[in-house]
This record gives sequence, structure tokens and C-alpha cells, in this order.
Amino acid sequence: MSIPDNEMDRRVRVGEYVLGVLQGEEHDETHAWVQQDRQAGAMALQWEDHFLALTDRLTPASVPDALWARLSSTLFDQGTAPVRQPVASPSPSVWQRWWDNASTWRLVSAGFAAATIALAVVPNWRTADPSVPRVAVLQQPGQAAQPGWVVSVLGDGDVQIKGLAALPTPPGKSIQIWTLAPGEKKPRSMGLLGDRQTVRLDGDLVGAVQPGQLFEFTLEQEGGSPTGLPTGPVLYIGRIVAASL
Amino acid sequence: MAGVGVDHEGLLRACAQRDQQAFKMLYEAEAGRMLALAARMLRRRGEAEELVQDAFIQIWNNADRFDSTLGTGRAWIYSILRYRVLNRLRVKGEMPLDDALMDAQIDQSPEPDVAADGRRQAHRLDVCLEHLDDPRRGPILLAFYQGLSHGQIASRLETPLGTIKSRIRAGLRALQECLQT
Repeated sequence: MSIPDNEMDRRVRVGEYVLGVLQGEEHDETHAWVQQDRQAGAMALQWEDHFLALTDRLTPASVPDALWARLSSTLFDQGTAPVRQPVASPSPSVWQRWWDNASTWRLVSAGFAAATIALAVVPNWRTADPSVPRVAVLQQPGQAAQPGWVVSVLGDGDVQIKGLAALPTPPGKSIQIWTLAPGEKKPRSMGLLGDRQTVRLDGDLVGAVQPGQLFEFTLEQEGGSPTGLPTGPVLYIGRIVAASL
Repeated sequence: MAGVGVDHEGLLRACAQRDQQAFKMLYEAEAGRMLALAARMLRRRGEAEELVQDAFIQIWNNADRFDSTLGTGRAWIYSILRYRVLNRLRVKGEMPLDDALMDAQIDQSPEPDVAADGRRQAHRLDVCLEHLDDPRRGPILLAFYQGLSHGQIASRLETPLGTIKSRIRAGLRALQECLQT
């Protein structure tokens, strides 16, 4: 079983995937391909767009008011927006608080736990080979001689970031952790560093870490970047290498 | 259709900026249709509501990762919902129970309950589906509305698996060719 070579067969295969008819190995293989290949992801969204014609044949259902009430209280009443809302103390990170929030967790567990959010939109990189050790040394820009933080992927897929020296957060600021995997267009926030010298990131949050993947710390306003993207100066930065011994 | 006049991409960008009003607009524009689709596929209203709610949580939390160079905002939204519904059906591995409704799906005409919403936008896919013969169109509609796999469609239609696979492939290929013209 393999991904077809020619364009039309590829489109048809992605169509089968979006339609939901694939099973077993064929499904798994196409799923991984759509997650990882930008072109396949775009094809999937094109099919999805065409199939909206079928969705639009349906008469909209009347939605109970309780649904919006639950949704808005889950999302807006508990400070759940990851990293973006100012918090009094940078530690524990907003992500951690959000993560620990039982009701949020209950509602999204089926999604985040399985890291299966959508098609190509939120890549599920967990398919990378876990047996290859992957590490990165984060350095201050222009300070190659002084490693500051070591990123390593643990056996269970979690990512540990360990500082060789403490990194105090300046008053009124937050240090935010980011990652950018090859093929991704925008860095993803991994939460705030706080005053931790060792950080453990949940593997489902990070996804499978790949060689070349960037990790960095930036200095942001207190509570984290207001835009969801890095805005402040880079404090430490480094790329993952596959440490095949 | 629900999407007429709604700037899904703009609303998603606003959601990425934590604009709750934009999120509400998106919800009001699409929740009803999303619920209709999920309920149709799952055959369970409560479960459909749960997955629609779940989908909107994902939409809000991941709006900053929507990439308009990959596809449309509306396709992105429905991909999130349909993926979750299909996953749920896959996990349950169950066949739909209502044969009468099922049979109604098989020879679904291109215009089933459209009359209820005359504002529906004409889609290119509708035209292309009309060009397909029934043996090809039927399994595609069955798959879409019921979330059935190759194997489930084959057993429901009492048709060999290989035949169903090749009909769906041929159908999708014909659709793709038609959609490109």
C-alpha cells in the first residue's frame, strides 16, 4: 500500500479519505500523509469545500440555547484562552492552569488527548519514530559558546526543557516558549516559562518532535504575547537534531 | 446557504485575535447546519450536540492556526466537525439502524431537502453529481451522510467490497474531472 504517484489518483485518494470510506492501513497511511504534506492537506480542504454542497442540502437544525451557554462559559468564563490572557503570576503557566481545568479537560479530552483535531490544519506529528533521540541546545542569539537550555524528547513523547542556569523573568514581563516544526508556518506557543528551570511539555501539545524543529524563548508582556505569535526579542533559540549514536 | 454573506476567513482571523463577538457570529452562521450534519451522521442528537460543541472549542482554540492559503475557512470548520464525527463513528464501528432512512439515502436525488432553504447557493458539485450514474453517486452520498466505510457500504448494499471501492473511486475521479472544468 502506498500513496499514488500521479496527481489525479492522489486527489481521488484524498477524496476517499475526506469522505471517510478508507479503512485500516489505507486509512492510516493517507491520514499521516494528509497531516504531513501541505499539498495533500490543501487537496483535503478542497474536497471538504466541494462537499459543503452536500452539507448545504440539509436544513439547519434548531440549536438549543444551552449549547451556546455551555460553550461560552467553557471558553470565556474561566480564563481558558491559552497564554494570551494576562495573569498575576507567570507561574504556573496559563497553559498549565488551562490544562488542569477539569471541565475544560472533560470537554476537549477526546480531541487533544488523541491529537486529532482536523485534517491538515493541526498537524499530528506524533508519527515520527520515537526510538531516535532528539535533542536541541538553545543558545542566546550570537552566544554560541554558552548553551543555556537543553531540549530533549522523552520516551513517552513529552518534551523536557532544562536550564543550565536560572533565567529570572524581568518584572512586568513573561518568558514564553515557542516551537516551529518544519512545514509549519507559524510558531506555536508552548506556554510561559515562569520561574521554572525544568519544564515538561505534554507530548500531545508539542506533537512528535522532528529534526530541524525550532524551539525558542521570547520576552513578552506579562501573561504572554497578546497576538499568539512571538512579538518580543528572542532570548534563547535552537534546532532539534536527531542524535543517532 | 448558511455561508452566504459570511466572511468565514475574516471571522476566523478575528477569533485568532480573541474576538468573542466574531466567534459568536461564526457560531450563529454555522451551528445549525453543523448540528444537522452531525445528527444525520450520528443518528443521535445528544451526541451530535456534544461534537458540535467540541468542534467549536477546537475552532476557537486553533483559529490562529487556520491557514487561508490551504483552503477556505468554511471548509476548515467543517473538516474539524466531520473529522470528529467520523472518528466517533469509527470508534463505535456501528452500522446505522434505520433501514428505511438508509434506503432513502441510497437514491438520494440531487435536491433532497433543499426546498426548506431556498437561499442555498448553487454549488459546482451539485452539477457534477448529476452527471454521475446511480451506482457511483449512491455510495458517495451514503458515505457522506452516514459516515460509512468501504466495508460498511459494501455490506449494506450487498455488493462486493472491490466493486464498491472501484465505484467510489470512479465516482470521485469523475467528480474531480468535472469540478476542474
